[in-house]
Amino acid sequence: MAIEPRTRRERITLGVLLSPGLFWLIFFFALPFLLIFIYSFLDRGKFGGLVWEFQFDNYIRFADQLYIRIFIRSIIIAAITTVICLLIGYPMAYWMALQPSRTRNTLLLVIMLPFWTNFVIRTYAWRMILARQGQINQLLIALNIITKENAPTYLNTNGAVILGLIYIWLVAMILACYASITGLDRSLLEAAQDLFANPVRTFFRVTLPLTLPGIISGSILVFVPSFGAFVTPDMLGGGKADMIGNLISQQFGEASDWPFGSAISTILMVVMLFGTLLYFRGLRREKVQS
Amino acid sequence: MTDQIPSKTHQTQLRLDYLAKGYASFINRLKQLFFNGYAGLVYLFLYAPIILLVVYSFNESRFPTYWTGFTLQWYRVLFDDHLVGAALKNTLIVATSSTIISTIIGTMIAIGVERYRFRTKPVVDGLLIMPIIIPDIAMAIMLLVFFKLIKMNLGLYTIIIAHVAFNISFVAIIVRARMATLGTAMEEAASDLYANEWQTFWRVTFPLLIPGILGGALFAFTLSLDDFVITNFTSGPGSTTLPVRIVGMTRRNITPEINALSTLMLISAMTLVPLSLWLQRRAKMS
Amino acid sequence: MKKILLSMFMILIMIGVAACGPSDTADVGGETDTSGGEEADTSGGEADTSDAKEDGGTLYFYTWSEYIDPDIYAQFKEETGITVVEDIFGSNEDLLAKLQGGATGYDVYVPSDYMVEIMIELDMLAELDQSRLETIGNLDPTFTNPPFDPNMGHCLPYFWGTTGIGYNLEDWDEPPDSWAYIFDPELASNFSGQITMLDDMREVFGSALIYLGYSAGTTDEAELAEARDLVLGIKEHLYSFESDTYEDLMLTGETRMSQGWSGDIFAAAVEDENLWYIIPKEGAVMWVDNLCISADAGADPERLDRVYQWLDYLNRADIAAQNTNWVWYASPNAAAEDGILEEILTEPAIYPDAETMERLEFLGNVGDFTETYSRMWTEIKAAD
Repeated sequence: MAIEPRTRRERITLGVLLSPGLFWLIFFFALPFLLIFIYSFLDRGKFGGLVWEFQFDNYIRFADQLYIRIFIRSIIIAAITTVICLLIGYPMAYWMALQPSRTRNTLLLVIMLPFWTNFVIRTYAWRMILARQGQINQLLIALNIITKENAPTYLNTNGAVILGLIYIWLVAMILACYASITGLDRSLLEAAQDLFANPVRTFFRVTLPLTLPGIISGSILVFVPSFGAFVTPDMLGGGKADMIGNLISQQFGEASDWPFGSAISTILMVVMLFGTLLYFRGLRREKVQS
Repeated sequence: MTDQIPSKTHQTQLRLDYLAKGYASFINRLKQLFFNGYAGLVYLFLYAPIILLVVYSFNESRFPTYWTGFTLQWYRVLFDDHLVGAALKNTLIVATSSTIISTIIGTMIAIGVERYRFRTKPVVDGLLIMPIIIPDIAMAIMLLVFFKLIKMNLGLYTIIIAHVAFNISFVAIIVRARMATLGTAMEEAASDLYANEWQTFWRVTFPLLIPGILGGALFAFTLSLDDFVITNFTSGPGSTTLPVRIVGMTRRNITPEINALSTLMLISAMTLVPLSLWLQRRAKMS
Repeated sequence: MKKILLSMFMILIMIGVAACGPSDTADVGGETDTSGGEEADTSGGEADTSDAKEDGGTLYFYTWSEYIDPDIYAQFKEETGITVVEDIFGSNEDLLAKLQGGATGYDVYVPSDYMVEIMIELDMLAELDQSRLETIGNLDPTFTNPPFDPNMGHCLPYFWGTTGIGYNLEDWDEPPDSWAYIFDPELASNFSGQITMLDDMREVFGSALIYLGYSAGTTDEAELAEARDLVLGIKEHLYSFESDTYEDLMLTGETRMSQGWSGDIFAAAVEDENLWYIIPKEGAVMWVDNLCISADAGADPERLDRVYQWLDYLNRADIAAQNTNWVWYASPNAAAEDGILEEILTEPAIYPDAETMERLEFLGNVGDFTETYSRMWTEIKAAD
């Protein structure tokens, strides 16, 4: 799809397109990130400051089954969140794409509106719904399924954390898939329909592979932030199901251990960078094969 | 009796056809109904907590567990609260500016990366994905230290710069998803017609990209509106934003005042819906 | 093309919303703030001297949310012409991280005891010149020589309180006067799933260590490990680790007992008289929040001038009393007691008697040992 910039003009166009973004990302992201990278080799001072002695201790410290377990748990929670978001979000995006183009943008807007309130308040609302005296239990009591005495709380579990993460990031999945699905060439779909007749096969042979870019972007947009989340595990997990994000924020906060926090951040970024690149590769290859 | 009367077998055939068609349309309608119902459920999931917080903004009790009576007192408290008012103002300034800047820059870089092949592309790809991957708190700390190093005073500007730094990536990833699906066929056809690259871009490519750009902008606005961690560390004296204020409030009492505020924000956002409908209709007519 | 216009228009509307929002004031004092953020930005580094003469200038107060009667800002402005701008932080560690990152421009911070010690060590605070405070004599002598800040060399105490047990009177004939009701697995199982502890490393270890008979700020690894095992033993009975809304959870009946801060639970008791607070017989952690001058304000005479006016004002007997009646924490200001509500003054949960005071202990800074605390805290939180 991409073309080689051959003429001088094309090269200039490319330069103009890239330079503002590159400037911003290099100046306000890559350079500051160097600081984190450097910090990860320093030592914590007695009062939480930095001691400028280069060493690898912080990385060695992370190789500890306590931290590895938190790391793996975070991956599992983020993966479950991503899969559920995809299963809910893709059909939703598909449905939106099927609507008359006139109403589509409005539907998109309506999807985003709940998120123009405030995340603390939204999460609080979920806490109310999931609590022992919450709306779910009020409903179940009204239906005589449970009694007031043995009403359970759904809060402070891994399930509550996953629900909270889905609630926040589902929109990202829908947006990415939607952008991709509405870009589909309809005539191609129709041709495919004639070819396969079976709509299910049309979907899996044509629609799905063609919208893979959306699925890839959506999955990254959900997986990555879920993996590093720490406010949701705090508020819906009751601080009993800490994730890697909590561990990192604790190093920059309560522990005042910037070097260790920087080291975990760096490890996390390297793992994620390779992970997403492999994911891209794998999906592209699959796409070529199909 | 005319010879146009169809034979009996033909009649049966017609009836069967009709029935089959009816069955197909019935199935279709059922499918559609099912699909619509599904969409309704998703909307319900997204709106359930919102409905709850709107309803309880009129509740007398401070706690949104049981309904104790109707009141407008939380709205009164809200209008008297200058601190929340100032925070809201800061938040909207930051969200609007960072959305505009990051949407423009993010779309440009997305077009460049998706359209051209060049040697350093993997580097740009990596650079684009990094702000999404980095833990919030690490980004917050590094920017704080960096702003200090380059002697920038903390304030609304630094918050906006920080928000743009992560929003570029989110905008770019959504616009790229759109471009990757579109392919270049349309553009190539158009460039035969228009010859001029510039015209091709504005008349063909750009309008096709709009859903992606709009989606990216909406997403960026939302992220910016809600960001707590990075804002908390890149804000300076006098630039406390709403999320920072609200998280601070949870320490003592979080009251339905914030529900009231959320309700008002939701209502003002909702005025966008009929407006966008109206604008689209106008655009169609002309 | 129309669609472009559409999107532009929508952005314009967002701006419109921004402009129409409550347009007044980043300053809480009164007068309309004309330039909002930009002003804050330029005056962040150096005070803007141009306006200072006429309207008294601006003071940036970096504090906890809802930790002052907001009327005081307006009163102060009326009296001195100085506008106080309030910014807030969520925890001592957030404040520290932000200052370590180099944030400047704030004039007065409100850190707690152990954080004052760290901040003095890291040269983040200016020294306090007590001769510039007319009201310095108002303070209770108990607080004028705190261990974390000898002879009030840097900070002025603001409010203080304790970390004890919040409980529901309906559940008890005799008050739960021991930490055992939380830390003994058998006793805790009576309220299994209905107890919260603070989501705060030092506070959780502090209470556990006191229950075990050790110092709340121990630097002995074996003692700390014992405290960790104690908390791990009752983790299954905990509803959550919660620092912000645990009192709300008790008010709605979601939980029955909590490790909590005196002021929080007492504020909840105003709404439900069945809630009460007790300082256990083994003792408890005590904390003091302080008014401290930022190092950069200390280097600028003009800012410093405003700072001293502000500290003097907050420490005035009548103002301290007014503030206490709004905040419901104990004031270290002895002269203010005449103006403090009777129900606050006579409440032993807020103003403990001398005998109870003996059993209170500051957390203290543990220096390098924080690393061990942090690791064991992670072990507690990550355990299944």
